[in-house]
Formats: sequence, structure tokens, C-alpha cells
Amino acid sequence: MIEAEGLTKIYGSLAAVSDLSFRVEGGEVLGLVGPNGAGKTTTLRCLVGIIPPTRGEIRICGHSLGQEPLAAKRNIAFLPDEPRLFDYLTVKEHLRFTARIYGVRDFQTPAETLLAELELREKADALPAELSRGMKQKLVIACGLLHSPRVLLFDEPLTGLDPIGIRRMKSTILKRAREGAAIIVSSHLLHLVEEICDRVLILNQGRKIIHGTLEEIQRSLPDLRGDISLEDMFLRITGHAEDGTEMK
Amino acid sequence: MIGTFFYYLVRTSRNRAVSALKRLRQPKYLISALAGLGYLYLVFFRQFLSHPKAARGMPVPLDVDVIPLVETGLALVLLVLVLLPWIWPGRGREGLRFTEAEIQFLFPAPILRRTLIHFRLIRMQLSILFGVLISLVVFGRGRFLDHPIYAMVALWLVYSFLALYYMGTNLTQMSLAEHGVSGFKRQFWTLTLLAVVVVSIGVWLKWFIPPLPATETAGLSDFSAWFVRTTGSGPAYYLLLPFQALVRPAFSPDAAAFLLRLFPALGVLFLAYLWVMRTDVSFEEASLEKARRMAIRLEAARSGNWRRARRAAPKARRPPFQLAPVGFAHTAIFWKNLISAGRLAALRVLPVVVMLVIVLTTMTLRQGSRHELLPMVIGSVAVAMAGALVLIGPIAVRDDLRNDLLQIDLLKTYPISGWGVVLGEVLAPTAILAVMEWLLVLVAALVLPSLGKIHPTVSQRLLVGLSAAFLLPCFSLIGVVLQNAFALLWPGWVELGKSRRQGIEAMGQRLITMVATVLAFVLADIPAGLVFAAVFFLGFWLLGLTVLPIAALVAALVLLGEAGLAIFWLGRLYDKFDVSLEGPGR
Repeated sequence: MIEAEGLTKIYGSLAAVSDLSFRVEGGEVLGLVGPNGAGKTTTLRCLVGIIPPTRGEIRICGHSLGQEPLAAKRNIAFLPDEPRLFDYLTVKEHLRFTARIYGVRDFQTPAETLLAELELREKADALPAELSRGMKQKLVIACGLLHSPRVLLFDEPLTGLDPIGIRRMKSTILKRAREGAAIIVSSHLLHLVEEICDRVLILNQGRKIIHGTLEEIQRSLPDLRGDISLEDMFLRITGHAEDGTEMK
Repeated sequence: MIGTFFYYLVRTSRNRAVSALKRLRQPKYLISALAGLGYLYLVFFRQFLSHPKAARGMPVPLDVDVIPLVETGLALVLLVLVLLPWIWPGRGREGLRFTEAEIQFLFPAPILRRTLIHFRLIRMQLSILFGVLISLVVFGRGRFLDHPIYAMVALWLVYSFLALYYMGTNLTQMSLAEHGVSGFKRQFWTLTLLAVVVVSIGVWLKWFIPPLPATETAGLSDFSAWFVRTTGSGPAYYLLLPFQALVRPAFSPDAAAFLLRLFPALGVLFLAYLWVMRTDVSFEEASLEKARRMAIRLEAARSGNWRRARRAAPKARRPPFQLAPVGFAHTAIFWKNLISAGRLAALRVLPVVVMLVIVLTTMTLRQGSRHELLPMVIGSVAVAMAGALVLIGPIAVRDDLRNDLLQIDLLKTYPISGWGVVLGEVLAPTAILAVMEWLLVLVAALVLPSLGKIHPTVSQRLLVGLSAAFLLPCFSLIGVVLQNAFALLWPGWVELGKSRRQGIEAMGQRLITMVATVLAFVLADIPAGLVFAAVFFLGFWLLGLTVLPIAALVAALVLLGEAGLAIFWLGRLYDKFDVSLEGPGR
């Protein structure tokens, strides 16, 4: 469902993402992790068509993002870490607007369901300024899920959510995966990635360091033994000691 | 402690200036700054630098007879400004605003409340001094005053007084809101004084206003004399006294007189200071709330969301129409931008306004020739406004890409083609301008025929009005498309959102954009103009004036075609638009 082939993004002389290739199948959750500046957000922004890649090919549900951007984008929902909303549209109007953009004919029922699920029903006529950060995040999720996307990309999905919201977000991601969506979750919260992701892709300085299931990654690190967490693996792969200091 | 405050303010100002200077390393800011400086030189400083003698040696001072008039007039303005926060509570609420950082550092610190007020007073001096300088450059330019230094001091006194007064009013109103009835007791003397002022104004208006001089025979001097007599009679004399004391130093003929007038002015200022210091109100909570709102605005501004930065608490508005879930996607953008435009209330009352104008003009037209002034004024204003709308409207109504480029991350994820996005974006401002222009055309067509000896027939009025109705919205569309083209081509140069950025380079940017807009607008209108002329002159022999709307319609179609091509081209630009390289904030 998501295919990236030789994805490269260069800013001036800086290669934010270099020759990145991977696939995410339907029903699969890929965790995109890496230190700050590793190129995670740039990768996500390329995958949803916000920024054009310098080189490489991206295919969403079989549609080339470069050649058939509209067909590709109809299948995508991007949920950024910072909720971006229109100041003068109410919660309800955001959903109506999104429905029109994606051509969701009978949006009322799913919109009502989403509002109820995300506990936004009482805020249906509120403007973004009247919402807390968590509520804004929920509204972005509602808008993202309204057109039943087959590809979901989450950038730091737990930011600003309360414990109940966190639990709901995790179950939403897993539920969508069970329903067959291809999902990428970019996060610094390695326990979240460990908990919900089937495969992990670790980026560093724009390059793919490792890609696979947790078992596969662990097998590739023979010097780490026993019950090893993703955090330990991450530190080891990115060249850091257990206390987080950089190894020489 | 005061030294610490000064350190903070001086370092903050210095660092801000350094940041502004560093920005000049970017060519776009440097060019803009040079353009801004050039503008300032041409408009304000050229006379000082080119003809120093003319500017400094030969001032054109105010006539001695006029000075009392000016003093009284300024005092009256000050009286109104002083009453304003009581009529319209909320004015001047800047007085107690602290930044979040200031609250975090200063409120828990072992500092007296009055020291915090002193801090605010000191900080306000920066803007007061800047205001004095700007006022002197813009209004005075040193030409009307013998001694600009005296004017500077007087302006400082006036601005400082107003700043103190607004702070005191704010504290008093806060105390009233906080303490209810006991608040009235706490603020007894302030409220008593206010009541005395209000009653005095009532008494003055009722019994001390002499009749106006007869308009047929009276000259300017008669009106001046009436004004001085009116403002010097009854309670007005005492009411204006403190304000006259504040402004009088500006008009001192020599140093001795200046010093003599300075003391009463300082006395008024000191009384305002005492009042503020004696107003015992715990303002911390209100300041916290203000700081929070300010922080939201700052955050919004820093993240590029300038509209929110300007209005911290927008209100929900009724959508202009019910958006169907299926249909052209660009209609959704049009719908959203109409809501965002916030002019829907005005649009909804348009029919009422039209009816009122029609009734009013019909009534005035029936009054006969003696009352032609009103229709002439209304009609001329309508024509002037319609013309101004064509030029300024596309710059002023910004609910299009100039706003939405700030949300480009979101827009780019939508499955809409580039031309669809651009079309949706330009529709709302064009529609708003079109409705306003049609209303103005209607008013002008109804009213102007009564002018002078020209009495066009109903059909002639209809033809001219119809032509204008065809052409004006198309001109506006071209203007809006141009503005959006600038936003897409040079997002770093165009002011995104509804902000008015400050600084010399921002001024320069605006000038350059304005010149480019006018040039592009003229170029875009040439083909339509040629087609219009060709159709009109060819058709006039056959159809007479009837050809006018036909020529206008053909020209409008040419303009629409140009706009369509431009939208298609801009759509391709939008598709290739790389947010990471050219997006706002870079």
C-alpha cells in the first residue's frame, strides 16, 4: 500500500533523506524512529505530498504520488504532531469541509460516530480557539478518519493527549490496522512503537539504518542478549551507551 | 531594582535591534529596508537634509491668535480620550500587560506590587518615547513650532499622562469588578470625581453652549471665537484646565515661559501617578490571563497564524450556504474562505442597506434642486469607493492563498488539483468585492443622474450601470489573482495572513509589492481595454450607446479568460510549490 523507492530529499547541500526504500502492506504498522534531525518528518511530508522528493518514487495504493497525486491522496490521512485547523470553522464545519474535499457522500453518520468516539459531540459548534490542545488533536483525527483512508501516517500521535486519549489513540491505530489500513507511526516514544508496531524502521542522518521486526533487529545485534527493549536496540544502533552518552 | 529593570529593557531593545539588523543579511530584507528608508527620506527627511535652512531656520510658527484655539482643541481631545475608557470599558487595557516570562520571573520574586507597577511604567516609556518621535516627524516636521524640543516634552507629558491614566482606569475598573459594592467604597473618590465630571459636562451642554454664528454671514474667525467662548464658559473652563496645562508647554514662546508652564503639567502628571499608586488592586490574576492570551497570540504569530495573533478569541459565524458533501472541491475552499472573511454579517444586511439607500435617494431626489447636495455626495462617494475597491480591494480582502499558505501543510494533503485550489482561493475575495461593487454601482446609478445639467434617461443609466457591473468584478478578479500570484511566487516577500508587519523593511516590501501590483494590473488590463475600445467604436455606429454593455461584456470575458489562464498557470505553480524551500517562515 505504501511503497517508497530511492526516496531522497535534499535541502541545499544537506540530504535530509537519502535513498530510502521500504514498503508497508495493508494491516501493517510501521514504526519510524530516529534521533532528532534523522529525517522522519521529512519522510512523512514527502509520503503525503506536502513536499516533493528530490529523487525517488512513492506509490500509495498503487498510485504514483508524482504521476497521480489526486488518486494517491484520496487514500491518505496525515495526522501531524501539531494540529493545524482553520480558525473560523467550527468542529462540525471542519468535518463538513473535509467531507466535501474528499467527496464523502454520507458523511453525517460517520461524523457523528467519530464525534461521539472522540468525545467531541458537545464541542460540535466550537471554534478551534475554544478547544484544548488534546481536543484539537482529536478533531484532526476525526477529519483524518472521516474518508476511511487506507493509508494513515501519524507524526508523534500521542503529543498532548491525556492518558485516556493515549489509550484511545493506540486502539484507533490498531483498529485501523486490523481493518486493513497501512500505517506509519513516527515517534520518539519507543515503548509506543514497541507496543503497536509490527515493523520498525530506524533512520539516522537521513539514512535507513535498519528495517525489520523487533526479532529481526535483535538478531542483527548479536552482542545484545536477553530481554532487550527497543530503547536498548535504538541506543546501540545509533551509537549511544546505555546512559545515552555517545559512544566513540 | 530599578537598575535591574533598566538592564532588562536596554538589553531587550538592543538584542531586538541586533536581530533586525541581522535580518538585513538576507537580500529580500535588505532591499526592502533600502526601499523603506528611501520612502522615509523622500516623505519626511528630504527637506531637512536638502534645505536645512528652510526647515530649521525659517519655521512657519502658528499665529499667536490661533494658539489658544489649538490648545483648547487639544485639551478637548484629551478630555474625550480620558472619558473613553468609562464609556467603552476595555480601552487602554495594555497598561498591566506582562509577558509570560515577566510573570514567571517577577511575580514570584520578592518584589513589591508597586515596584511591578514601576516596572510597567518604565517599560511603557520605550513606546512613549518612540511615539513622541514618530508624532513629531509625521505631524510636526518642525515647521509649525518655534521650538520642537518644547513640543517633544509636551508630547511626552501627554503620552505619559494617558498611559498612567489608562493604567489607573484599568485598575479601578478591575477593583469594581472584583469587589462589587465594596469596590465602590474603595474607589469612592475616583467615582465621585468621575460623577462630578459627567454632571459638569451635562450642565455645560445644557446651559453654556452659545448659539452658532449664522452660517450665511459668519467666517472662520467667527467660528473660532465661538469655539473659544464655548470651551471657556461654565464648567468647561475647569474641566479643560488640567489638559490645557499638559499641552501648553508645546506652544511656549521662550525658555522662561516653557519652564513656567512645565510645572503645572508635571503636577497633573504627578497626580495621575499618585492615583495609580494608591489604587490598591491585586492585578496579578488579570495579568496572568492577559499574558496567557498574549502568549497564544505570540505563539500564533510565530507559527505564522497571524489572523489568530490579531484576534485571540474569534467568534463562530453562520456559514454563507449549506455545503453539500459532494461536488467541486474548490467550492469547499470558497465556502471556508467566505466564513473566514467575516463579512457575512455585512453581506446579509446588504438588501436592507440597498433598500435604505433607494428610499433615501428617492426622497432626496423629490425634494427639488435645493437638496442636490446629498445625492451628489452619496453618488460621488459611491463612484469613488467603487473605483477604490478595484484598486485596493484585492489588497485588502485577503481570504485566499495569502491566508491559506500558512496552512499549506494541510492544503497539500488534499486530493485537489492545483488549479482547483487556486480557483477556490480566489473566489471568496472576488465574490465579496463583486457584491460590494454592485451595490455601489446601483447607488451611483440611482443618484448621480440628478447632477448638474446632465439628465440621462433610465435606459442610459441602466446601460452604464450594467457595463460597470460587468467590468468591475472582473477587474477585481484580476487583482485578486495577481495578489495570489505574488504570494505563490514570492511567499517570503508577501505579507501572509492579515498582519501588518512592522519595521522599515516591511514598509519597503509593501512599497515594492504595490508598484509591482499596479504594473501587472495595467499590463493585464491592456488586452481587455483594446477589445473594449474596438467593440465600442465599431458598434457605436450601429447600435449607439446600447453597445456599451456589449463592449463591457466582451472585455469582461477577455479579463475572465486571462484570469482563467493565470489560475491554470498558478495551479501548476502550486503543484510544484515546495513548502520546505519556499514556505512561510523560511
